[in-house]
Amino acid sequence: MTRRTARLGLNRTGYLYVLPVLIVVVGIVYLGVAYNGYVSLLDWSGIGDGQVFIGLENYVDAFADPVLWTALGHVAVFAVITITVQMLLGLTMAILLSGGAWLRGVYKVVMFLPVVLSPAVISVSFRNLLSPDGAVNAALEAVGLGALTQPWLANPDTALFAIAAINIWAWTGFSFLLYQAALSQISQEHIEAAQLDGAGRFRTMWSVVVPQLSGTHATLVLIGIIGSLKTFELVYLTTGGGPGRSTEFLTTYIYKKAIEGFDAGYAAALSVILLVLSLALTVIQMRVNRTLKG
Amino acid sequence: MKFGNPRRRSAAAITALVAASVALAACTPADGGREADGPVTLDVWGWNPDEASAPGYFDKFEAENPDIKVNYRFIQASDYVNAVRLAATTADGPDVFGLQVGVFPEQFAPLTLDLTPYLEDELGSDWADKLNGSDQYNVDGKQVAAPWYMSSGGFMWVNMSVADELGLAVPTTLDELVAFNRAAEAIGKKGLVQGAKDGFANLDLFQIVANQVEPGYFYSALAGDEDFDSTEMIEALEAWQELFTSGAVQEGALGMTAYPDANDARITGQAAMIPFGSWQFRDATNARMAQYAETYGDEAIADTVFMPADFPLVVEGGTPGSLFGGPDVGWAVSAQSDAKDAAARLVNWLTSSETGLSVLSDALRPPALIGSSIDLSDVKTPEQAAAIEEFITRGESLVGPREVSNPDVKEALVTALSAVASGQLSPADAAAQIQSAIDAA
Repeated sequence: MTRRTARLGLNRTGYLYVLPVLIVVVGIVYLGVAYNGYVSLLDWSGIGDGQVFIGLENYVDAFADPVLWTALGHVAVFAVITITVQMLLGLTMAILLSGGAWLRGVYKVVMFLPVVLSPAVISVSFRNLLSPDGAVNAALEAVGLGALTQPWLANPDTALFAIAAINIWAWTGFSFLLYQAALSQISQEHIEAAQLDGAGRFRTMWSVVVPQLSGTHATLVLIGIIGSLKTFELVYLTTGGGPGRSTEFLTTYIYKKAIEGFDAGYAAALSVILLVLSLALTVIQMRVNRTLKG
Repeated sequence: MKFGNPRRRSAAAITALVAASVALAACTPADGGREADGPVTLDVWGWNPDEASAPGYFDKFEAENPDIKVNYRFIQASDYVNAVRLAATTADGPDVFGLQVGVFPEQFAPLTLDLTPYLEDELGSDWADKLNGSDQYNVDGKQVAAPWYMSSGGFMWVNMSVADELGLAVPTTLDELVAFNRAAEAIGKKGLVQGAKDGFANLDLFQIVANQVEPGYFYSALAGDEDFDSTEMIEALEAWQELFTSGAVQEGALGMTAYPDANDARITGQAAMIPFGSWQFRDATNARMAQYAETYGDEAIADTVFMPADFPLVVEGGTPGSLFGGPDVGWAVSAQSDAKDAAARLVNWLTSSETGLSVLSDALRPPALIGSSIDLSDVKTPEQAAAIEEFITRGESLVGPREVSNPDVKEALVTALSAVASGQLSPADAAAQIQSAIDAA
């Protein structure tokens, strides 16, 4: 057997190993995306026949739809708040627990536990906690901050921020986990060298540790952006996109158009826009990261 | 083929495994597989009846039709449409499924069997005159579903235990309602609860208000026969907004669902009133209250008296008491069913058989079949029975249908009502937006 023949045999075996996953990914994901793209060119309720080809009309309508831009604005605000706060809190906790903190094992579990909870459970629970008679308002009253009590999810001025707060509670543990893993890879020698040069704790963290976590920062920003664009259950089960449109996300709008509005073509067009946006932001973010590294 | 080479053996094994998986997937029998001979099994999906009530219907059907078995699948209302719209396009979906009026008959028409010949066989050529609301399930001459029972909205239910605890009469005006609510809040409870997170609940309550301004105008405006951006509807939207700013509706209503949040509150005595309609008639019966007591784990609930009462007059100089509604549930047969005749038998049994109607009657659900009566023998008090009889009589003269038939108009209405209630949109702008949606429909 020649080296080339052996290499071909190895490749053939490799393809067979990945074949089941390929069938799933191509058959379900990519074919599904392609079919969705086709449906986006139709005027169709999504049920039965009656499909009418209308070309790019759904896209023209979408870009002229004020609700689309409102929803994207909400996603942007949500993303900025949640990504920033989750990263800050996750990094802070990871740094604090990287030392010899008492019961740090318990803290780590407590930090990560919300990550494994179902979004549906979290949403329903927080809908009760954030109600006017809920535990959050009760706690505010108990500490003398009764003036701050709100119907958090029913007030259009606070609903979006309340949803962001729920997301921060649910996902900070994930940031914490990634930072904890990254911190464990930092050489202690770099930190000792900085301290020998007279750098204080904060200066050491800011100038030595944080830059070495750039890969983790980039990963969390990327995951955060995509996660924000994909967020659905949290919004749908807490506010449903309301009051009015004050917490409408692109995902909830797509659901309403497809399921409640029986406008599968338009919903498909919105889905394609969401996909393109996700890809574009991913590419931009990766290029920015590469540039910063370079 | 040589199998001496380990790589060849593993490659062959993987190939065989993948091929077997694909073959098995293709050969998996569909749910609800039917025997070539023997009983027919029907898969029936619905959000109504619920899991507890379903055996009361389908067990009796099976007893009278031993050649048909029914597999009933209860699906929560919030998930129902999405589940059925996918499944009903395949042969693996339900044979019979529940269908609400409004948006759904037209959208689901392509997936259903025309029931006209089956209804003619059962009820005669004048079947459409015998089944109340059958026109709301007729799409371009095709009878998409048969109406099961009628429901009406436009009033409210009062937990008399809470009212008695407050020592207050049921409010009949906006001022009385606000005073009642404040008194309830003073003892840690709520007066009127509205599940304003849910669009359907807001549509129901708005129809009450709009009909107080001018009975029936709302439906004419939706049909395009009157203007929606008119003084009448702007006045209705102003009155609607006032409900949320005056304290007529509880704080945080926009974050509360009708089911289960608001409903749980009034059943457990945390709230006194809720603007639900005749679909809650069963709450006046001993059997239903015993069921609630078990569900909520509080025996005291079984003694609660829920009284239907007119919604307070919240529009100055308005006309209270109009009822709106129509068929609550219709039963459709899937065009994909391979047991259409059996499925149609079930639909006819549910909607017009003596036994089927008696079960509805026991549940205090006025059947769509005209001339049917309901059994009030299990109602807790004579006062409740008298009130229910009065609302049933008034329900025979409805000012309009409860459901909106165009999805875009419905979305515009639901969004506008929420936006007006939360102060994001003025009543005039809301009326204009809804008018635009009606014009575009």
